[in-house]
Formats: sequence, C-alpha cells, structure tokens
Amino acid sequence: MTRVQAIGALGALLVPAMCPRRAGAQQTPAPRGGLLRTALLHRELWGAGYPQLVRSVGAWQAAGEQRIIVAPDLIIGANPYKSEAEAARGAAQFRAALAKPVTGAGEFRTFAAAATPGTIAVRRYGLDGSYRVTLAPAGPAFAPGLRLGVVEKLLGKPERVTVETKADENSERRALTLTDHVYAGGALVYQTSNYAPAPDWVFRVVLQVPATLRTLEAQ
Amino acid sequence: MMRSNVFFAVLCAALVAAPLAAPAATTVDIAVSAGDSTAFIDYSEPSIAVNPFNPNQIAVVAFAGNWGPSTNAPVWKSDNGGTSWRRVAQLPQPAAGLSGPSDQKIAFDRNGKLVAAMLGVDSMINAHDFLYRQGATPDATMLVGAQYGDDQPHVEVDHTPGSPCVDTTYSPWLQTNITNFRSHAETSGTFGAAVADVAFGVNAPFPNRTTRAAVAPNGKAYMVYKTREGSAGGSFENVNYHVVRSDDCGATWTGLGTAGVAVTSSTQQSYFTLSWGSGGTTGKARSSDAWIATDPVSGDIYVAFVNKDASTFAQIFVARSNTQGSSWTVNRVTDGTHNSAYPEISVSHHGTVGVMYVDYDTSGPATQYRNHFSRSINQGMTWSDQTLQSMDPSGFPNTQNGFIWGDYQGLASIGTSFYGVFTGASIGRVTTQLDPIFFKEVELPTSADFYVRDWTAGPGSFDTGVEPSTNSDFFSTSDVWNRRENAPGALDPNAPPIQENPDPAATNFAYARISRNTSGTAASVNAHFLYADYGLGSNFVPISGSPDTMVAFAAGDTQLVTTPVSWIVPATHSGHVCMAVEISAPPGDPIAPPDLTGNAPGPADPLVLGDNNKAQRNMGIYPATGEHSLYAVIHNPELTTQDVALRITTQYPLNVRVVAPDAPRTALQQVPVKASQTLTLPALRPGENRWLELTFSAPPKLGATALVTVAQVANGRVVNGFVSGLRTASDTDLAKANERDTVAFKRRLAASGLTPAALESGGDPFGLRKGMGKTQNERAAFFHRLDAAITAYQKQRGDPADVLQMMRWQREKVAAQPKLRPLVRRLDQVIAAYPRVRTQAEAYARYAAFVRATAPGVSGADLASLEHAHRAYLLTH
Repeated sequence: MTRVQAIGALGALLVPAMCPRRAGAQQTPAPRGGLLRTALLHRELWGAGYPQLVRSVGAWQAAGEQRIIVAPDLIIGANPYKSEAEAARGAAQFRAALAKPVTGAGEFRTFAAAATPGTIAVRRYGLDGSYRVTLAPAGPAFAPGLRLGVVEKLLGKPERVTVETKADENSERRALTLTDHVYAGGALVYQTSNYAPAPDWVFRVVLQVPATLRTLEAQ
Repeated sequence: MMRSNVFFAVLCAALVAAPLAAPAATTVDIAVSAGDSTAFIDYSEPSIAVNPFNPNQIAVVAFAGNWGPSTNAPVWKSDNGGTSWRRVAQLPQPAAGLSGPSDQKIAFDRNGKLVAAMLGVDSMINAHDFLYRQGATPDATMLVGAQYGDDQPHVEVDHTPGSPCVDTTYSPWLQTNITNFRSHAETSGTFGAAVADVAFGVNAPFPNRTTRAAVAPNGKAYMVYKTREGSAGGSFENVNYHVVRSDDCGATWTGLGTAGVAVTSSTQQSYFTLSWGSGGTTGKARSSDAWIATDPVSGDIYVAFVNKDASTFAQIFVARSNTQGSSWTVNRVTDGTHNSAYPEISVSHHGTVGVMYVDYDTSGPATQYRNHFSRSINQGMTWSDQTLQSMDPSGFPNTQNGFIWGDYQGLASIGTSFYGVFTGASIGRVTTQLDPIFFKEVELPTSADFYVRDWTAGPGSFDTGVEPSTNSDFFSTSDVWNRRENAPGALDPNAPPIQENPDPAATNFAYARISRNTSGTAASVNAHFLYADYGLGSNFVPISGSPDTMVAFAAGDTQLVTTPVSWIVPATHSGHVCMAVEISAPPGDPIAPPDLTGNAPGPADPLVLGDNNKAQRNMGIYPATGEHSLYAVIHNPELTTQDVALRITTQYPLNVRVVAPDAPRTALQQVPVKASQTLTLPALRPGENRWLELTFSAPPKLGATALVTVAQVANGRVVNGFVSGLRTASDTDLAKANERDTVAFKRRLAASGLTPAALESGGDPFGLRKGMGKTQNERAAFFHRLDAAITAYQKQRGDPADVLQMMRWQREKVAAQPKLRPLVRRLDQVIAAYPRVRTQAEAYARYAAFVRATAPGVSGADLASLEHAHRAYLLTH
C-alpha cells in the first residue's frame, strides 16, 4: 500500500466519525448559529468528501474565488479564467493556500483536520469554455442522491427559487436548466436540474466563499 | 406498392402535373400513450428507429428522463406499429458522475437489436459520447460500449444482409474542444463495444458542423458535413454542405476525395442562431441544417439541407446523387413563403423520398410553428406537402429552457411506410405541453395499395399487405398458385388457394388473388407470373407464352382473382417448380426493383418479404403409397460464397441427404430428422447447386399428407423456404400419375437429347442404377430420382436462369477495378434492360455482347453454354 493509499484508507475510516451530526429532533438538536452554520453541520446534507470541502474553503478565498460549485465528485471554483495558463496560476495559489495549517473553529476545525488530500486540477468548463480550478475530494462532497425534500426538512423552505437556463455557446446539446433554491441570503444554494435523475434531486450546491469561511471560523 | 425505373422515366411528367394526394398521417402522443406525465422534462430532440425485420417494433428516445447512479433513462417502445407505447428504462449511466442523456440517437441492426449513441455530461458540463448495444433481451438494460467524442453523436448500422460491411456501426460526431470544430466518424464492428476513430473532411480554413451518416445497400457509407464560411448577416452564415464516402467499412472516408464533394455548385446560406423563430427563443439552429439518407434499393444518396434563396426565406432543399456522391442535382422542397429549418430525410424501399421539417407562420395573432412532412415520388423533382401539426408553444409549461428544437428529430422508413417523431404540442393532456409526437404515413392510401398475400393461416389470420411480411412461412400458403385445369379451384378468403403441381406435359394455368384493404377508385392491376426450379435460391424466369394478365378492379372491389394465364413447362424442364407473381398498379403502386426475373429471395434481398407486390408459392405435394425421396435444388443466388443454413421441420420420420454433383465427391451422410433440425450446406459458390434429398413416407391414411418444411435461415430469420409433401394415394391414382410422368419424361428426354447412359455416367448421385422397381410407388419414386438427375445434368452444363446473376457478378468484379469503373454505368444499363428481352435470340445476343466486353475469351453456342463458360471464368478471375 502506498502512502497516499494508506492516507486515503485512513481518511475513509475517520470520515464517519468526523462527519457533521445526524439531523433529527430526538437525537441531534438543530445546530446553533445561522442557517449556513446549520446546513454545514447537518450530516445528511454532506458526503464523504465533506472534510475536504471544509478544509478547502480558506484556500478558495486565498485564491480569489468568491463562489464554489460543489458537484457530487468535484469542487469547482467559479472564477472563469480565459486561458489554461491563467487558471494554472489560480490553481497554484489555491494549492499553496491549501498546504497551510488547518484553520477554522470548533467542529469545523476537526473536520478540516481529517481531510485527505484531494486532486487539484485545471479543467475546461463546458458551459462557457472557460478554465476553472477544481478540487476532486476523496468522496462526494455532498450527500449522494440528496433530495430537496431532505434539505427543506432540515433547513426549511428556500428564501427564493429562481430558474436559469445555461445555453452552451459552443454546442447545440440539450440546454442545462438550473433551478436555484436559495438559502442564507444567497450564501448557500441548492441547485436542481433538468439533467438530474429526478426533479427534486440536488444536482449541485453553490457556496459563497467569504460567508462560508466566516461561518467556519466563527467561535 | 412499388416503383420501377422505367415507370419513373416514362411517367415523371405526368406525376409532376398530378401528384398523388398524400394520405393523412397518423399521429400519436408517445408520452401520453406511455403514461408519462413528468412536467419538468423537456420531451424534445427525439430520435426514432424502426426494426427493419419487424416494423411493428419502433423505438423512440427524447429528453424524457435521466439516468442516475441506480436509475436508467428510458426508451419508448411500440410493438404495434406506433399505435401504443410503453416506457422501458434501459439506458444506464455510462460512467460514474455523468448526467444525462443529452444528445441521443438510436438505430436497429439487421436483426432488430437496438444500438444507441448517447451523450453524458460530467460535473464540468463537458460532454462525452458513448455507444450502447442491446443487452440480454430487447428490454434489458443496454450495454455501455466505447466512449469517444464530445458532442452530437449520431449512429447508423449497416443492416443490409449481403453488404460487405453488414453490421458495421457508424457514429459521426462533432469535435467541439478545438477552435475549428471537426467532423469525426467512429466505426465499430462490435456494435460499439470498441470503436476506431477517423477525423474526416477538412476543417481549415472553415470549421465543421452538422455531421450525419447514411449507409447504402452496397455497403458504401456516407457522411454529410457543413463548413461554416463566414457571416451572411443576421441569423445566417455562408455554408457548404459536403459529402464524404467510405468504401472500406469506415476505415477511410476519402472515396470522394479528402474534402468530399459539395452537394451544390455555389455557397449556400443557412442559420447560425440560438434563437430560431419569431417572438421568443424557440430553437437552436446551428448544427441542424442537413440530413442524409440513401435509397435502400438503388443506393442513390439524398441530402436535405437549409438554404436562404431568392425567396428571402430559409428553404429546404434536397440534393440527389445517383453517382455514389460524385455529382448532385438539387430541387427545392418548400414553397418559398416561410422560414423553414430542421430537415430530416428518409427514402422508402420504393424510392419515395420523405422530408420532415419545421417552419413558422407569423400572419396570425400568435406565431404558429408547423411540423411538416413532404414526400416526392419522382426522386425529389416535385413534392407534396402536409402539415402534421401547428402549435403556439409560448404558454407551454415545459418550454422554460427556451429551446424547443435542436439537432435531433426523427424520420425513418421501412417498406412502404414513413415513421417520424417530432417535438410538438401534446395530444390529450389537460394542459398542453411539449411532447414527442409520433407519426406514420404510408406511401399510398390503403385503397391504392394492391398486394398479393404471402400467407393465409386460417380464419382472420392472413397477410394484410404488411411490409416486410410478418409470417416466417411466406412461401407455402400464398395467393399465387398453379392449376392443371382452367379453373382456380375452391376459393375461400380464410384459406390459401389450392395449388396443383404443374403438369410438365400439358397446359397449366397460373392464378393470383390480388387484394387491397379498402375499396377505392377503379384500377387496372397487372400480374406477371414467373417460375423457378423447385427448392431454394433458384432464379425466377417468366412463364412461357404471355406471362402477364390485367385485372380490372371496380371502385368497390377489394379482392379479385386473375383470369387464368395458360402456360406450359418447357419441354426440357422439370415439372417440379416454384411459382411467383409480381403485380403492379401504376401510377402509384409498381413493384420495387429489382423484379424477380433473374433473382431469387435470399439473405441479400428477401425480395418477396419486403414487397407486398410479390408473392411466391414454393410447394410440391406428390402422390405416394410408401416411401419416396423428394429432391429440391439449393442454389446460391448471391454474388459471394455462402453457407446456407436450412431449418428442416417435419412431423414424420425423415432422412436428409445432400447431393452435390458438381462438388468434389464426399461421403454422403443421411441425417435423421425427428421434428426440427438445422442443416448447413457449407461454402456454396455463386451459382452453385446442390440437391437436398428428403426421404420419408406417405402417411397410412388415404388422402393424408406428410409435409416437410425447409426454411433458409440467415442471421436468425427466415429468408426463404419451401414445403415438400407426400399425399397418400390409391394404387389406381398413383398408376395414373405414373402414366402421365412416363409421357412427360419421354418428352423431356427427347427434347434434351439425353440418354440413360449419359445420366448414369459419373457417380450416379441420384441412384438411377437402382432401376425403376416393380410397384407403382417404386416407379413414382424413380421418377423423382430421374427428374433430379436430368435437372442436375442440365445445370452442370449451364443455366439460362442464371444469366442475370452472372452479369451482376461480373459487374461487381468490374466495379472493384478502379480502371474499369467507367464501364459500370453501361453495364448497369445492360443488366437493367435484360429482363425485358422477349426472345431467346435477343437474350443470347445481349448476353454474348456483355460477355465479350467483360470476360475475354469466353464463348458459348447458346445461352446455357455461354452461362456455363462465363461462370467458370468468374470463378477463376
């Protein structure tokens, strides 16, 4: 077993213990603090890659990313770099920041400390042809198969729902429709999509980086 | 209903003046029929495939549901020709993390197995193409095959039996991750399990778009692609549509040069817009402006495309090539009054060209979007148009993404029918929304579609003209038959007419029962009778004398029997024959070429199965009082060596032996058959004959019949067959039959100049030396052996029925030599004209000229000997 594999295996063992609390009125009272903090602490909402998500938020901020898109297998910086070289510089900043000591407070610091290394890469974003910095965590960052019903049960109804269609400028492929279910003043967005297996299937989660970082670092 | 080249040549002008009224298409809301009500689904960009072996089986995909980690995306299927639909979740997520499907296209292979090209999208919203193939059963989860390109996958399968590239899967796609987009073709010999990629055409200086595929029956594969050549203002840009060709099953695409051939002589103007339409975004029109199809019989190529012409409207045009893509003629489909886009094209087995497209009309208070279907029965020169549906989609709940049309709509053709699917207004929902709308249109109204039944199984169970024919026994209960007397015999609409074996020494009478499903106008239907050696694969020739008769249908008639057509078996020929008829009812219902003259149904072209204007009766029932050996010729009518698989079915104990007089002698093995068994005759060369000897006994009961059915099976389906039977007769009746046969054989031997010694020379494969025997049954059995021996002797010295087969074979050899290709068109003309010769002398003169031009040193004093020499030449060159 290589060192990377060993770390990965260890991380997988640690993750269940390190995940946010399971929701449920009897077993786990709703977390204290704002809605974003509540969301970040509900175990049902997140997946095995959650520690890396928590661990990376500060690094995204350091790399100048204002928003991150959390897909099932990938965390994507929202900065649309025009060239691969530009994005590579952003990725270098991100990598350097991620190598710094763990920050955060309380439970979040514990989660971050359990994070296994993810894979940082620059990838082309199909919708607009830009290049993005990405982090592939060891497991899905948010709960696989998460349904909107679970989100609403834990967080309540969204503040607003908006629909946008992303027309790929390059191809004629089926238009991507994203429905944003907005929480925490826009700091947290659950997106459903016409590409998802079901209408209430959470396709992606979008986090505002500064607000998320403030929540993670709050005592 | 069928077309012929002659028909077109003669009547084109008349058709232009008076096109047939298009019958109204049948439309069905697929999603409603299948019980789908999910409103968040787009239900757009559909694709359709029709099983070539059973056109009642139709598959459609659209954006009707997505796959997931444990969820399959759906395929809608109909098992009854599109009347009703069911949802089959069978498209799995092709790889972890991929969403979709996005683009999708489906096709059937020749055996009715579904193949699909699918596009999945990863978390970076980058696309990945995949090919899928059928799993364990038609409705099982499909198997994910190779991953290849990044956008706009299409798929076609070469499903022509006999094509050198049969079963090759072609998937064109567009490479979009480079500055100048480029067209590619994936080729697979494993239905997508593994693929090989070829980038084709040229993408410099102009980038490519709109890549589509079509496969011709001769195995040539074609792709159309567009080059974008600069803005033409507004939503339009300058374009050229090019066609490339592969002559090697997709290994290369340079048959028409690297860039291919432009289908027009000048640059065209087409859409390049994300907001096609009026009054709101309704469609993306950038890679959806061309489609390609081939004539499944002639191989002519058709390209439908968009061009804004002098009318100032974007119009639909069709280019046709009958030169394998090297030259094109262009006609406009639309009438120059509305902007039109999204053309799809397909060609029926009869050469009717169908084009589906969308236009919009802004003359009313709300813009109306109209799905059209146009068809041409004169190779694109003139068109008749119908609006399948009009809609104002502005208030539909599932149009929120604003893109109603894109790269995919579906049009296909099998036999006499067109099958299409378009994105339209739902039918039967409380709130109207976008749904996939299926339509089917037959080329002719049922009142004008005349046919001869291929089968009748019993009350209410008979052929109704469906193409291809739906009963695997389409050769023993058909509505063409022979009588020894000038009367058709007892006729019952729920039973096959009663066949009598032709009398080789007297006048016979040929009959056909001609049907149409509904009454209509008065019409004259011509029936043309043919015969062939008894068995499988023997080429048909017209019966002697006047092989044609005309049947006058009054307006109210739906079924008539021909007047008797008298004929005699040629004096030198066996009386054991198969009968066939071809009917034609111009102007709308001629036979599909090729006609049966010089042809035989087989794997390469079922002929009779696919054309309801043709029928054959391959059945021989003979009197007996005990055991007989019956003989049937197994002939290879193809142009390549093939194994012939025979499925033999019997209810009586049966021994089977294969006799191969002109092959190296091997030990002959008798195969006992109890119920059903498959026997393969290996490596029959073109034109080669072997004899199947079926030895069994007549049943004990007087008047009872023992039947043996022999079906030729290729790729799991029956492509031809015959039935042999022994009917238990009294000694008296058998003696009378033997007396007739004695007269007939004396006549035949005399006409042939044959002696018993000549027949017994060689290996005596038919056992003549055993002698005639003493009983009537032994005498009758001897006559069967004698008949086979004479036929074999004659065929070993040449067969005039095989002349056309040899000409076609020669033509293929010429076409394979680049230096000789200019000759091919001339040879095609000679071959096309040959069936119309009327005398032996004319036939010999034409064939001799053909042979002189193509096969140096080959000669023969008559048709048979010339054919014999020619075949020997072809076997060695």
